[in-house]
Amino acid sequence: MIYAENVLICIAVPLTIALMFLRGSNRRLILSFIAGMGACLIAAYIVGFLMQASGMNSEDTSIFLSPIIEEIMKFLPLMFYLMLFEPGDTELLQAAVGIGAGFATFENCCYILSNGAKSLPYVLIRGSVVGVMHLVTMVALAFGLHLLKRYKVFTISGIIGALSLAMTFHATYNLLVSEPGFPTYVGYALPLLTALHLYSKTRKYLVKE
Amino acid sequence: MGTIAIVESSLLILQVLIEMMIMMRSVRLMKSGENGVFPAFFTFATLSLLLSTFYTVIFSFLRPDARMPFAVDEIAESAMLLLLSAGLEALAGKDKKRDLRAALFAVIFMGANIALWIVWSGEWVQDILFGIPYMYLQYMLIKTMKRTGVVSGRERALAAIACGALIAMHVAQIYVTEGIIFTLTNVGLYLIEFGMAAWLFWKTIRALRKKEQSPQEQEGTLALALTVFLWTILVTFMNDGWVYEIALAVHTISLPIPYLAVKRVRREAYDLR
Repeated sequence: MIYAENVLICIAVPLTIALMFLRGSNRRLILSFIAGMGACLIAAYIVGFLMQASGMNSEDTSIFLSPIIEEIMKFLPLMFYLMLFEPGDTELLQAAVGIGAGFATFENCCYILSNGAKSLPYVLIRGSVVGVMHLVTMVALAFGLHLLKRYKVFTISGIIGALSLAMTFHATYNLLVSEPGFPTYVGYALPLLTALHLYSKTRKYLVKE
Repeated sequence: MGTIAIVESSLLILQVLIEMMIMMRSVRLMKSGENGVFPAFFTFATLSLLLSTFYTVIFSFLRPDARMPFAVDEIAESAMLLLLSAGLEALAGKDKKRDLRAALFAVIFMGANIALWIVWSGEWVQDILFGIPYMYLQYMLIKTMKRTGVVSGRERALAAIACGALIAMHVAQIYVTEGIIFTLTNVGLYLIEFGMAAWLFWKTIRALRKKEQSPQEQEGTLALALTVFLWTILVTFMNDGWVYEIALAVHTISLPIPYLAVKRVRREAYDLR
């Protein structure tokens, strides 16, 4: 039994102190990283509550409910940043990456601390795949929002559409990894391949910027 | 695995393949920029549809006996509908005029559909929540078809009467579950559902075959093509058993039609406004 809040404090406090010595994009990245960890903790509270309220078992909860709640919780700080500060495309992408990385880091920490590390390869696979999955959904979401802004159709329907895309991607991953064997490997490959594809796209995009 | 399940899985796998091809082609359209902004929304909408179908396929293979408590594939379907609506909004440009009659029809027809879904599935929140994007897309489509004049007033009136009859017959089937009236309403339902689909297919293909089209006609053809696509989805929801499989096959055939219409919309269609 671990207390997720303690883990959050242990990671967030040094980062918060580090903020005093940082400026510009570094500060933005660290701030969004902390926001991502906070979003993960709140998502865990909500998922836990919904699991109790709906009477679902933990596997069904992780397949059906977690993707929706987690994606909404990651989306909210990004949307807050977008609405309040009207950032440029690079800044938006940076914030999305920070939130995704923070979320994945905190989730991995809590998971490994409460379930134990079976072996080093397992920790490496779990760490990289979950990390990549949360990053991929956030980068895709940032791209979606960038597209909506570029074509001047930053409407509710477009925003919800982009968010739903991230949710379904996450849900597909969770469904695949819930079944041992071949589906799990497909599940692991899904975010990794998408990340490689998105990497090639973002590189071109950042070079253009 | 029964015959119906095998047919359904085969059709869904075929849909995944078709959607992948459409998406790849749509990405090319998006990159070329010759067709304005709609291909960008269409690509993302196709990606959502692809994810939704893919999710349904893997769920039916990994958990054949389990029932989805909360349909994640429906979220992707909603995403698709919302992205298509956003694309139509972009296409309409500065023309933000509201169409009260179109809105009223969309609310009444889709509201009745949602009520029927609730009766059939018993899921209140899910059906209401996921029915709203259908309502919005339908409103956008009717508005665009009216504005572009691709469907005449007489045709619109006939379609509205057919939709009303469709809902009335479905409601009648809740109360009458056997006998001659049940058989007659069943025949009537199939006639309207597939007859309307055939009519929409015919109108869209005729519009697509026209060589020279004004920007307004291109926009109208796109709305028609998306209406065929939407209608075939609704028909699948209205049926079960073998008729559902036929409806799914018709929907599979309708998949490339919106892409063909998107290809026709040139950049000038946006520059007009």
